[in-house]
Formats: sequence, C-alpha cells, structure tokens
Amino acid sequence: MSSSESMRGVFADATRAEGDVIIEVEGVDKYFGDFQALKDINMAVGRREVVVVIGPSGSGKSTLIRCINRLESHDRGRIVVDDIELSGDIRNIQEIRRETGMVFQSFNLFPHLTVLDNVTLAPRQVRNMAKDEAEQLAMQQLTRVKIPEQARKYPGQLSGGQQQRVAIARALAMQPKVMLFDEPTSALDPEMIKEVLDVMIELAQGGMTMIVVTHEMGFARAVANRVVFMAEGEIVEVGTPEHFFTDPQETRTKLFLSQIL
Amino acid sequence: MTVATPPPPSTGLSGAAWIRAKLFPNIWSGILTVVLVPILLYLVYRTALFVFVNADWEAVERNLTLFMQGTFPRDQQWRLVAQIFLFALALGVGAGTASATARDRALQAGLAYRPRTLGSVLRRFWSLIAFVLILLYFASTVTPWLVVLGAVALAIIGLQSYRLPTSFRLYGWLLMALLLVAGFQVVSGTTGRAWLVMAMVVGVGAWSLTESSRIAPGWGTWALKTVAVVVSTIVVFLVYSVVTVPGVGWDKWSGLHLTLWVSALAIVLSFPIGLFLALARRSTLPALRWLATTYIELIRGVPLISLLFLGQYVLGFMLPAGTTLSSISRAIAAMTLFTAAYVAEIVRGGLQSLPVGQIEAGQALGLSTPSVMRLIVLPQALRAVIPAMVGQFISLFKDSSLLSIIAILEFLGVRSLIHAQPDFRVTAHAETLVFVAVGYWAFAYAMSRESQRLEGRLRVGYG
Amino acid sequence: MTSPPPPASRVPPWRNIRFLRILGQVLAVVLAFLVLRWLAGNLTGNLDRLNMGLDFGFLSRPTQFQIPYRPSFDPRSPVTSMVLVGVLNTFLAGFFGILIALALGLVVGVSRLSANWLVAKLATVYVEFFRNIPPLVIIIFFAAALFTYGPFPNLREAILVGLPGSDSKLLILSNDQWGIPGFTGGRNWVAFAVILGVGFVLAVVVWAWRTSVNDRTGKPHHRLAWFLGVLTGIAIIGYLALGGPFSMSWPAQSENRRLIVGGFAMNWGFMSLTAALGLYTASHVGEIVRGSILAVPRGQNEASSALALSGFQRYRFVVLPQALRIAIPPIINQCLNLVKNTSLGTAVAYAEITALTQTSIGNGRPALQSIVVMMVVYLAFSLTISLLLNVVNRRLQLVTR
Repeated sequence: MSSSESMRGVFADATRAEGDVIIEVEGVDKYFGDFQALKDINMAVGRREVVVVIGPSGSGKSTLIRCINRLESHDRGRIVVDDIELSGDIRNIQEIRRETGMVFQSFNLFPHLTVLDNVTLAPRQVRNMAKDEAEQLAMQQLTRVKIPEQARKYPGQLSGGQQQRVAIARALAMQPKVMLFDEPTSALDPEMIKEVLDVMIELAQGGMTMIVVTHEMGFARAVANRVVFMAEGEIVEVGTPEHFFTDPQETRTKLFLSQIL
Repeated sequence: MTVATPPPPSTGLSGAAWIRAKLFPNIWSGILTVVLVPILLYLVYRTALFVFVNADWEAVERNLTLFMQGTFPRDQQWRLVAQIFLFALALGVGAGTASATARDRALQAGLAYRPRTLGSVLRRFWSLIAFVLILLYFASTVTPWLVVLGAVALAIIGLQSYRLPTSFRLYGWLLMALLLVAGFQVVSGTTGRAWLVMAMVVGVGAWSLTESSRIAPGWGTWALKTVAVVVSTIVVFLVYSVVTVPGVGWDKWSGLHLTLWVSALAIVLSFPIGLFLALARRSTLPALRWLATTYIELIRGVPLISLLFLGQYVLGFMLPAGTTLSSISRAIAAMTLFTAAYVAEIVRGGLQSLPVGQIEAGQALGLSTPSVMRLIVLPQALRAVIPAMVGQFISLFKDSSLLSIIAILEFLGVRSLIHAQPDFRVTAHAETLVFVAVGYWAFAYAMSRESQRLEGRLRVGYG
Repeated sequence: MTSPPPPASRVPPWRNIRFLRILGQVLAVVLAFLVLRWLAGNLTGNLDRLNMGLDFGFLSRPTQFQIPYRPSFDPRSPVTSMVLVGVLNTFLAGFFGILIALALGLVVGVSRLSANWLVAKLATVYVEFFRNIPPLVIIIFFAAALFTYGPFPNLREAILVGLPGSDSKLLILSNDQWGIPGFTGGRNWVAFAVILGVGFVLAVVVWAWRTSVNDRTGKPHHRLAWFLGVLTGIAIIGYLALGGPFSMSWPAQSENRRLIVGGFAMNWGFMSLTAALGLYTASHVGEIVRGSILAVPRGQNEASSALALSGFQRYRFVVLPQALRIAIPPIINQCLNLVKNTSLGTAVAYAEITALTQTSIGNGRPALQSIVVMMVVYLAFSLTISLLLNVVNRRLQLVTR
C-alpha cells in the first residue's frame, strides 16, 4: 500500500471510532529556498486522537507541526484546523493559535516573569480574563502538572523537567482543542524525562487531541492511537504502535527503528 | 563529649609572606618592583607637593560658583537649590521603591535578600562623596553645607518609601517621576508647554493606577482609564494655568549644571529615536532598512564635533525662516541625533541576543505581534542592554566637554571665563584643569562602577 | 493520487499579515521621506533668500589663509590643497596615535594580569584614570603643562641637543615646536622605494619557504630572522648601489628663529594631540586586551598544562591566538575612535581637517559644504578602517559547523 492509501485506511477506522476530524492536512508542500522540507503531506487527525510522529532529523516532522500553528507557512496545499482554514489571514491565524497549544523542545519560558505570570499571560492578554480569575485558572493547570508550589518562582530556578511542565501548563491555560508537542523531552536529562511523559500520558488519557513529535517509543506504545513515520519530507508509513514494533513494512522504517529501538 | 574539628589552615598570606608572593614572585618581577617603587614614591611625592603645597587653589575657590552653575543668574539660585532638594527626594523614593520591589520578588521566589547597607553604598559612590567633600572644602560660605545636609536628609526621607506595602509600589514610581519633572521645571519654569510634560507623566500614572485584579479588561475598563487620563490632564492644565512661574530656560544654564543636564537630556531624547532606528534596521522592507542603516553608519563614521558644527552653522537653515534656536538647543539636538545612532546599535544587539523561541512561544499562545513586542521582547531586550546604555551615557557625559569648542560654557568651558579675569590670565591654568578633570573623573568613575555592577547582576539571572 | 488542492480563499487586505507588515513599513519610509523633503525645502528656500548657493565651487577658489606651521603652503592655492593638508595631518596624528595606543595598550593589558601585585595595581590605576576623563581635558592638559605654560623656552632660546662630533643638532626643544632628525630624499629615492618593495616581497617568499622547510623536516625555521635578514640585506645593497638615495637631515633653527627647518618638525598641537590620544586610547585597548585574554576558556589553560606545554608556549600557541580573535574587532573600533578624536585638534590649533574647516568657515566659506567635505574625509577614514576590520575578521574566523 502506498503511504497515503494506508494512511487513509487507518484514518477511516480512527474517525469512525473517535469522532470527527479536527485537523486536516491536504497536499502540503513546504520549501526553504530550494530545499523541499515537506512533500505532498496528507494527514487527518480526529478529535481525542493521539498521533505520534517519528523520523530521523531533517525529516520535516517539526516543520509539519510548526505549519499547523503557522510558525512556518506552507507553500502549497491546505491546512484546516477545527474548520478554520490556515492562510495569510491574521484573524484565522490568531484563532487557530488560540485553539492550539504548543510545547517546545527548549521550553521557551519567559525568564523575566514568574511561573504564575508565564501561565496567566496569554489568558489575560488574549482571552481578556481578569487577573484573579486568570490566576485561579493558572493554579489549576499548575496543579494538573503537579507543581503548584513553584508558582512564584522564576523559570531560572527550576529544573528542566519542572520548566517543561510549566510550559505544558502554560499551553493548557488557553484551554486549547489540540496540543502540539515538538520533541518535548529531547532537551531533558534522563531522570527528568519520566515526569514530563507522565503528565503527557495523563493528558492523553483525559481525552486531549495531541500530535507529538518524539523519539520516546514507550510513550507511543502507552497512549498513541497512530504512529506516523516521516523521512526526507514525506510520510513513509502510518500505523498503530504495535504495527511499528512487530511488522514495519518500508525499508526506511525498518532502518530507522533499528537505530532507536 | 564532642571533639571540636580544628579550623582549616588559613590560606591568606600576610606580612612578609605576602610581599614575597605578590611583589617578588620571580626574579624579573622582583627587579621590576625594585625599579618601580622609588619612581612611584617620587611621583606621589611630587603630586602631593603640587596639590597641597605649591598649587594656588584660589582660582578654584573664588570661582566655585562659576564652575558649578556658570553664569546662572545669582538671584535665582534658590531654583538650583530647590532642584537639588527635589532630585535628592526623588532619588530616595526611587531607591526605596526599587529595593522594596527587589525584596518582594526575592521573598516570593524564595530567594535570600540582602538589603543594602550604608557601608556598601558609601563604598560604591566614594568618588562622588570625595568630590562633594572637595567642593565643600573650597566653599567660602555655609550655604553649600546646608544644601548638602538638606539633600542627604531628603534622600533619607525618600528612602522611607521602602516601608510602604506592596500595593503602594506604583505610587512610589509615580511620585519619583513627578518629583523629577518638578525638579526640572523649578528651574526651567512652568510657563509655555511645561504642563504637557507633567500631564504626560500624570496621565501614564492615572492609566496604570486605574486597574483592578478582579475586573476583566473590556470596554468598561478602557473607558474608565480614558476618563482618568482626561481628568488628570485637565487638572494638570488648570494647575499650570494658575501657577505660572517663569523660570530660567536651558539657554542660560552653564557650568557643571549644564554638563549634567545636556547629557541627561540627550540620552533620554535619543532613546525613542534609537529604538525606532533599531527596529527599522531589522525590518523586512529594504527601503526602511537601507534608510536606517545609512543613517546609523553615517553618524557613527563621523566625529561628534562635525555634528555640533552642523548644528551651529546649518541647522538654522533647515528650519522655516524666522525660527531661532539657541546655541544650547542646537547642541542638544546634535548630541541627541548623534547618540541615537549608537543607542540604535545597542538596542539592536539586545534584540538580536533574544532567543527566537521567545517570540515563537508568544505567537503560539496567540499573542498579537504588538503584544509580543510589549510583553516579551522589549522587557527582556531592554533589560539586557542597560549596562551598555549606562556606558553610552558615560561617553556622552565625557563628550559634552566638546561643547567648549563651540563656545558653550559647560564645565570645561567656564575656564575661558575664569582665565579671562585679570587675576588668572596666566596663572592657575593647571589648577583649574586639574579641578575639572577631578570633577569629570568622580562622576564617570562612579557611573562605570555601577555599570559593571549591573552587568554582573544581570548575568546571574532575573529576580 | 489526490486531486490538486483547491486555491486558497481570498484574504481581505486589512487582515492579511503580509500586506499589513509591508504597509506599516511603507508608511515609515514615506514619513521619513516627507521629513527629509521638508528639511531640504527649508534649506534651499533659506539659502535662496540669502543668495547663497549649494554648490561646491568654493573648492577650486584660493584658500586665502595661512596654515600654521606649514610655511610651504601658499594661500593662493585652491581649497582642495588645504583639504589635502588637513587629511595628511589627520592621518599623521591618527597613525602615530594608534602606534602609541597599541603598544602601550598591550603593555597595560598584560600588566593588569601580572602576578606582581604592584604592576597589576599600577596598570589598573592607569586604566581607571584615563578611561574616565574626557580626551579633550587630557589634550588641553598636555598642551598647557608641556608647552604653553611648560618648562621649555621660546624657540629663539630653544634647548639644543647637539650631535657629538659635528655642528648639527640632534634635538631642538622649545615650547611650541620640537625638532628631531628626519630623512630627505636625494636622487633615486623612487628607485630605492621600488627596491624596498621588491625586497619585501622576496622576504615574504623566504618566510614561506622557511615555513615549508620546517613542515617537511622539522628543523627550526628561524623564519623571522630570515625575513628581517633578507629585508635588511636588500635595503643595504640598494642603498649602496644607488649612491645614497636619501640622507639624514638634522633639525636647525631657521634664520629668523621662528621655525625649524630640516629634520622632522613637530608642533605643539601635534604632540599634545597624539600623546594625549595615545594615552587615552591605550587605556581602552588595555581593557580589551585584558578582557580578551580572560575570555579564553579556562579549559584551554588546563588542556595545555596537561599536554606539558610551558607557560610561554601556552601563551604563544593557545591563548594569544584565541585572545587575538576576540580582541581585534573592538581594538579596530578603538582605532576608529582615535581617528575621530583627532578632530579635537581644533582645541590646540593643530591643522587637521576639523581645525582647517573651522578656520575656513570663519573666513567666509560656505558652512554646509565645508562641513560635508569634512564629514566625507572622516567617512573615508572610517570606511577604510572598517573594511580592514572585515578582512581581518574573515581571515581569523574559527571554522565552525
């Protein structure tokens, strides 16, 4: 089966099971100068679905999710998030960014603000919440990621794992419909990876739609509905986590898995 | 019974061991020490001889007022005293509020906070204190003593703002701003457009103060804020239309007073221009980037004196016929435009040093571009460039001496007045020059130490 | 295969990101343009009213004033000659100032890191003293202390240091000029210059040859000795072969005892300016040198010690090359500042370009055009030095991934 057909087939099962489509990527190409980073990407993500994207560095997986919230702009094709089409229209972009939350590899917390201010910034500025209400919401999210006691500290005082959890809380405070994770644990020391993954697993089990770019196959096994393997800018293989571990089809997939498993 | 652990062996050297290690670490170094010490002692001896025995400090003593305030009208001297008092109070309030803010932040974040002691402050500013003491030594009346004592007392009173509860923090900053504007206007007068400056400060204060943590921002709060600003502006206007006290415009300032003010005005006015240039230089539109780059590279390639010449001889032609600008206004304009190019490069460096992920995180959260700028980029970038900005101010302070070349009587320039007096036509040139040098040095040294201290603190982290 | 994607829907301009961004910047450009046009309009209007032109014709008309300490300058020569004299004087002050600043700055910078407490403290005092005083004050101090109110007598009764065994004088010291020995070109000095140039090229080739010998065989290259040897040898041979293309010229007082003829005459303005700027800039260079040595990561010292390199070898092969890379851009910036600071020569009546421009304007030349010429001169210097910086920087860049 070609990649798009196999993907559609699996997707068809997923939609009927999980609910309607929340993110649709159709025929997307992306160029950096002469270099083509994304080649004819077709993907649909359903509500409450957890999609894990794996692949070697340079395969375009980060570029793909960065296109979804317009941190990169796609050159050809369509991206639709929650029935809003992603284009050069500011209003659409802002709306999509309100509905998607992103967690970065290098956390990107604002060092000049306390943890609490980091989390309340967007609700107050974008959703125009009052300060007290925003702080209440923020404490809820911080409790959810299990570090409410760090609220008044500055990011520089926290460990990597704590910082990343704050970043997750910050994204969750906007109550997004989709959470995008760009290699969230790649910059962490090994002993801190577990605490972040635990939060992410809880999130998935709570029904959040998630697209996660990661190397952590254990996470994929635990909660992923689908795993997407990308290489050299295109989707090579799609399937359930078991499919990948027991019976990968394509040569490139087998090669990659042999390197990381 | 516990056994006391013996104290660790002391690693500090003292006495003979110190001399051996520090002055004679090896044979060549030792020879150097032996050669240098007598030369040094001789130089110190000659300098002390000059300063305390041979020099005729009468020129400085008799012209102390000229050095400090130049040809400022003597009957209006009370304004300068009032300015010093208001600034001392503002300094106290500002320092107190800043310390209190730092203390609050540290306590909340669970960090230790060490309040500054009097000793540490005295050590930091010893050069300024020494200079003030020298001035008092040369003073012939008791007035300077009273002024200094009054200023110190007011600064201490201002420092009490440290004790204010956290909710009053904003009032503290507002008070400091008001005192600074008042201090400027007590000399320059409250006529003309002076009310506008005060209205702006009060307006910003009113805008910031009409806030509640319980009410969500919406049309209601915006309307309330606008009303507050309008009301405060009207109040200021009314007050200023009653209290019209003409003052002494900056055209008539001179001496050290002018030196300090020219530098302060130039750096403050150049900041918005420099910020605009820095943003323009980073813009994606080629025309804007080219314009900004050309301006910056042009200004940085020529000496300040050439811009001062332009200001003197050419600026008049670039304004509509009939407008006249005083010599000092031209000089300030030239220095502002000059500094703006350097400020632009400093700010540009600060913006470049910000990791791009910060902007992306803001965008991913849905913040609009102006909000990202206002809340994320500028607070971090500007904080990072504070040491460089202080360095630029020090340069500006030293460069203000160039105004003497275009016959403006600032701190260095008043010497021409002094040596025009028959008594000092050929004598005391060295003494006046040394006095001027000491004055510049005292200020510049203190500021450069502060800048180094800030740099060290900023590198450690925020909070 | 999927069907080609449908065309993207049209975005109204007031919501289109790209459009808005461009619009904002276009408005800024338009605003800047309008301001410039207003200024230019005022300028031309006012000039027309006063019957003054915006042309540069004054450059070809006679200068009509004397340049101090330059008797050979004819006031009837065009203003362009005056500008050239100004450029030359600016260059001289800048060149020698930079020499002093670099040499002294290097010493001061290294001294600050000395193990000898006294040396380190003295260097620190030097830096903190000179850095925090305006250069103009230092210049005026030198001028007053050494010359105007200084210990040296009038030129008529100048101190003469004679050359032993002859009538010529080695040094003439007075309170407005000093004379030191100089060179005058005799016959064939051009040919000699050419020979020197060829000799330099040859010496560089020998340098490369010795380096390759060392690479191949490991024998010490002594390339510096070879370089200097070849250069000096060719210089001597050329000198002898051409029969004295130049000779020493000794300073002497002119007949009316107002000037120094022969040798190299330095006037008090030049000396105050150069010495003061050299000392002032050296304090900045010293700080840069110190900072750059400290900026070399400590791990480099440790790795060198672990490899059994001696202290001197560590400095020469590991620390200084890296420190140099860090130090060169800010040092070149300081050189640029020094050249710009030569404009303070007006305060001591040294005839560099700023002083001459000021005199020129005082004599009625058009102000705007004269200042523009002056700024062009400084821009030329700045550009040259910046280009040098770029070239040097590029050669020195560490190769990174």
